[in-house]
Amino acid sequence: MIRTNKLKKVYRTEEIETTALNEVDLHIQSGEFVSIMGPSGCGKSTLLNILGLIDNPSSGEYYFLDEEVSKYSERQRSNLRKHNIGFIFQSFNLIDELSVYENVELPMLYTKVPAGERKKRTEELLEKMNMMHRKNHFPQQLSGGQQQRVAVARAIVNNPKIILADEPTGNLDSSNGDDVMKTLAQLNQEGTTIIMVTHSAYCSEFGNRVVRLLDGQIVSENTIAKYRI
Amino acid sequence: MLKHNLLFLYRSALKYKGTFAINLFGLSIGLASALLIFLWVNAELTMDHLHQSEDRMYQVMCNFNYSDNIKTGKGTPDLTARTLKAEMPEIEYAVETIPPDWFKKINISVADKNHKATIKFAEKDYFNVFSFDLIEGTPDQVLANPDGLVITESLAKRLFNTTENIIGTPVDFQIMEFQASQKITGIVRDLPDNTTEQFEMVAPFAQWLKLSEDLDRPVHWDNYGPEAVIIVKEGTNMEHLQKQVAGFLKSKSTAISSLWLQPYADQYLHGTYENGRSVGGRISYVWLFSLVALFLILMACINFINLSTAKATRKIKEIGIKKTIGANRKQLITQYLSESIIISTIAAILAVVIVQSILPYFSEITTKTLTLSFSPTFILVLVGTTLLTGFLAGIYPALYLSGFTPAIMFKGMLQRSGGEAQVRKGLVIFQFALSVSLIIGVIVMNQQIRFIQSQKMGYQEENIIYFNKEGKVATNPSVFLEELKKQKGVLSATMVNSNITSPSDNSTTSGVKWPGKDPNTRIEIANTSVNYDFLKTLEIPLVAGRGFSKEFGSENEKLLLNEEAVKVMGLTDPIGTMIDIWGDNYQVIGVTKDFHFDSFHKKISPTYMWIKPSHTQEVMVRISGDQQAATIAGLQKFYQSFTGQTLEFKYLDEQLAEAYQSEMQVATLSQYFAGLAVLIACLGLLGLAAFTAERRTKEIGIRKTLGATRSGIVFLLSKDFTKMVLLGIMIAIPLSYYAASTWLEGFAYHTKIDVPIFLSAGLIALIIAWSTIGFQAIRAASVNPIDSLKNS
Repeated sequence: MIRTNKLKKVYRTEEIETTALNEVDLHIQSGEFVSIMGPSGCGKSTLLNILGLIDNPSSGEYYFLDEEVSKYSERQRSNLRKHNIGFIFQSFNLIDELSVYENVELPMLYTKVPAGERKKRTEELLEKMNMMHRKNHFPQQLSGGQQQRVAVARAIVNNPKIILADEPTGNLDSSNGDDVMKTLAQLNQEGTTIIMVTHSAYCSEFGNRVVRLLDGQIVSENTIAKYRI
Repeated sequence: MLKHNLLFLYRSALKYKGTFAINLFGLSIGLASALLIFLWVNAELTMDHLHQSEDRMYQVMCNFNYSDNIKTGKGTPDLTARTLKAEMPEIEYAVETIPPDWFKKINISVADKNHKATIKFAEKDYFNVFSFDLIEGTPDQVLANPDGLVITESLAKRLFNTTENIIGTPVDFQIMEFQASQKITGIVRDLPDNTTEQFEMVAPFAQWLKLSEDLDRPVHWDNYGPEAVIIVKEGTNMEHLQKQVAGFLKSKSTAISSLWLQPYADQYLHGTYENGRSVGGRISYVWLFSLVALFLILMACINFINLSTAKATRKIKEIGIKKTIGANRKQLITQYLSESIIISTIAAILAVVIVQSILPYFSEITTKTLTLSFSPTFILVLVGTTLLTGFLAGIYPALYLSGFTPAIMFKGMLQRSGGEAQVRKGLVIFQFALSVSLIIGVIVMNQQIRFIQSQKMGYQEENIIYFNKEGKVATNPSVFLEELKKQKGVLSATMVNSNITSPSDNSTTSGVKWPGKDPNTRIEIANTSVNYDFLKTLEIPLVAGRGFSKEFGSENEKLLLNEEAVKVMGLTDPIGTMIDIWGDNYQVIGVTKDFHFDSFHKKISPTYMWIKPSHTQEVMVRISGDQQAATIAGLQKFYQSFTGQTLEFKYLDEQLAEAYQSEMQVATLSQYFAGLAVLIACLGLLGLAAFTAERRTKEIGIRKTLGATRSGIVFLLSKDFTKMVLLGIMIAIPLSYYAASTWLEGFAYHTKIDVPIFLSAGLIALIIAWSTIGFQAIRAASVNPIDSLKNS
C-alpha cells in the first residue's frame, strides 16, 4: 500500500540546513497498524506528513497505492488525500467556527457527497462515537476526549483506506486515550490501514508493527505478535 | 458548499467582530460614495439626451476671430437659422431662439390678474426640434402664428388651475416697455430634469423681432445674440455641411466670424472653448468625481486586503485542516472570494440605505434632483460595482491564503515571505497618497474661493439690492427713480442693463472705432447700458473726467470707458476723444477704475458705458447699512403703492456668491469625499495598528521587562506607520500640485499654491493617523509585561 525508497526531507533556512528524514525505506501493507516511535525531533511527524501527502519529500521515491507520488502537484495530492486518507491529530484540529456535526460533515463537502448521504453518514458516525447529543456544540464546548472522538469521526467519514494519526492520545487522559485507541484498533480490524505516531509504548501495542526512528533514520522495526484490542 | 461558506463567514464575523466591522463599514462608505457619485455622473451624462433626433441635432456655434484670440459663443445673428435652412437643403429644421435668462421673470397678465413667468422666444419649428411633450397643440402649429403662446403644464395650473379648455385664452406680457397680447396655442408637459432648456412660456420669434425693433436694437448680420439649433436630414455628410456652415457668414457679416455645428447634447459637458473648438468643460468634473468614486472603493478594498493578509495567522489552522481533509486550492479561493463578495453585497445593501437617507442633502449640494430608482441601469451598476468590489477586495487574499501548504499548520508557524507585508505597506502608502491629495485639493479649492471672496470687485457690492424693471417702473422709469431716492434709507438708485454679475448679460461688440485705431485690429469691447447715478450707486471710482449727470444736459452721445478700454485703445488723453460705434459718434467724458463685470474666471474686459435708459432691465438701489429691515419694509410699501405689485429683490453680494456656485459645489463635494477617504484610510490603519500591537505583544513584554518606557513603546509601534504616511504625503505633493495648478488655470485671477498648503495637508494626515495608531499603541504599551508574555 505504501512504499518509500531513500526518502529524504531537508529543511533549509538562510544559514542552517536540517535533515529531518534521511533515506527512509518503509513498506506498509494494506491492513497493517503501524506505530512510529522515537524521541522528539527524530522526524516522526515529518514522515507522517509526507506519507499523508501534506508535505513533499526533498528527494527519494514514495509509492502510494502503487503510484509514485513524490512529484505530484498540490492538486493531485489533494485529490488522492481526500478519497484515501483520514487524519487524526494530537491537538484534534477541529475547526472552531464549525459545530460538531459540521466538522464531521466537512470532508464530504470536498468529495461532493450528496446532501442526503452526508446527513446519513454524519449521524451514523456521531451515534457510533456517542456524540450525537453534542452535535450542535462547538469544539471549545467539548472535553478533549469528546473532541478527539469528533476528530476520529471526521477522519473516517469518507471511508478512507488509511488513517494517519499523530499522537492521537497525546492530549487525553488515560481513559479517553484508551477509548480512542480501541476505536482505532476496531477500525483496523475492519480493514483500515493505520499509521500512528506515538511516544507511548502502551499505545504502540495496539498495532502490529513498531517502526523506530532516530535522527531521521529507521533504526528498528519490530512486529508485535499479539497486540492489544 | 455555498451554505457552508455562508455559515463560516457568519461565524467568523461573530468571532472577529472588529475586523468584520471595519471591512463592512469601509466597504459600505466606499460603495455609498460611489453610488452617490454614479447618480450625479449619470444625471450629468444624460443631460440633454432626450430629444428624438438628438443624433442629428446641432447647436450653431460662432467663432469670433479677434486680434489676440478666438471667442466662441452661441450667439448668432437673428436670421441665421431661417437663412441656413433656406440655403442648405441638408437641414430639416432650424430654429432661432432667445433664451429666457435674457429677461429673467417677466410680467404677464391674464384676465387682469398679474403674474410672473419666464419666457423664451422661438421660431415655429421649436417643438419639432426639441421633442418636449405637448399636451395641447401640435409641433407644427403651436408657434405658427405671431400671436401664439405655448405655456407649461404647471404655469397653466398656476394661472388657470387647470390645463383643460384654455386654448385660445389671451395672455398679455410686458418686457421693459414692450407689450404684447398672445393667445394660448399649446400646453407643454413640464420640462424634465435632464434638459438645459428652461422656460415657462414660449412665444413666437416674430414677437422678439418686434421687441427688438421697439428697443432700437438693429437686426442685421453684425448683431449677434440669439441662438440657433438645427436638425439635419438623415444621411447628411456632416463634413461637407460643416464646410458650408463655416463659410455662411462670409458674404453677410463684416465681423471676422465663422459658424460651426456642435452636437446639441455635447454642449452641456463640453462647453469650454479655446481657439474655436471645444476643449472640455463640466466633463472634467465628471471624470474627477468618477475617479474619486473609484479611489474610495479601492481604498475600502485595500483595507479588506490588508486586514485579510495581516491576520492570515488566524486562518492557518482552518486552511491547514481544510486542505488536509481534501479541500483543493480552487475550493478555498472560491470560499474566500465568495466571503468577500458576500461582505460587499451586505455593504452594498447598507450603502443603498445610506444613499437613500442622504440623497436629499446630496441633491441640495449638487442642485440636482437626484432620485434612487431601481432602473435596469442602476441595478446593473449596483450589481456590477458590488461584484467588482468583492472581487478586487477578495482576490489577493484568496490567492495568498489558499497558497499555504497544509504542512504550515503542523509546523505551527507561518513562513512569511515578506512580500505580502511589502504589498500591505505599499497599499497603505497608496491610501494616504490619495487621501492627502484630496486634502490638498480641498484646501486649494477653499483657498481659491476665499481669495475670490476677499477680492475687491472694483465697486462696493454690500448694501445693494436690485430688482427687475417691470410694469409701471418700466413705463415711468424717471418718476420711479426720483420717488425711490426719496425713500428713507435709500442712498442712491440707478438702472442698468444687468445686475453686473452675470457674464451673459453684458453684450460685446467689435464695431467700435477710435482715433488711431489700426483698421485691421479687431478688438472685442463690452458695453453696458446705464442710467444716471450708476457710478454713485455702485461706488465705482473715476480716474479721470466725470460720470453721467443731468446737469450737463443730454448725455445720449457721451461715453464712459474703463481703464482697460483706454489701455486697449491706446488712448493717452481719453477725455474728449470721439468714439465711433456702428457709425454713431460718442464723446468720452470719464474713465472709471477697472471693475469686474464677470466672475473671476475672466479677465476684466475693455468696456464702455452709455446712457440708454430704455435698454436697462434692472433697478439697483444702494441702501444704508443701518436699520436695513426698516428700509426694506419701507421700500416694499413704496413699491406696492407705485406698481401695485410685491417687490421681489435680491442682494447683489449674495448674487455674486452664486457666480461661483459650480466651484462651491465641487469644493463642498470634495470636502465630504476627502473626509470619507481619510476615514476609510484611518479605518484600515486602525485595523493594522491593532494587528501590529497584537503581533508584537511578546516583543513589547520583553522590551518592557528590559526597561523600555511606555512612550518608547508607543514610539516603536508608531514609527513604521508614520513612515508610511510620510511616504504617502511625499507622493501626494507632486500629484496634487499638478492637479491643483491645472484647476486654478481656469481662473483668470487665482490664489497661489504655497508650501503651507502642503504642510497643513500633511500635518492633518499625520495627526489623524497618529490619533488612530496612538490609541492602539498606548493600549499595547500600557499592558503589564507579565500579562503580555503570558498571553503570547
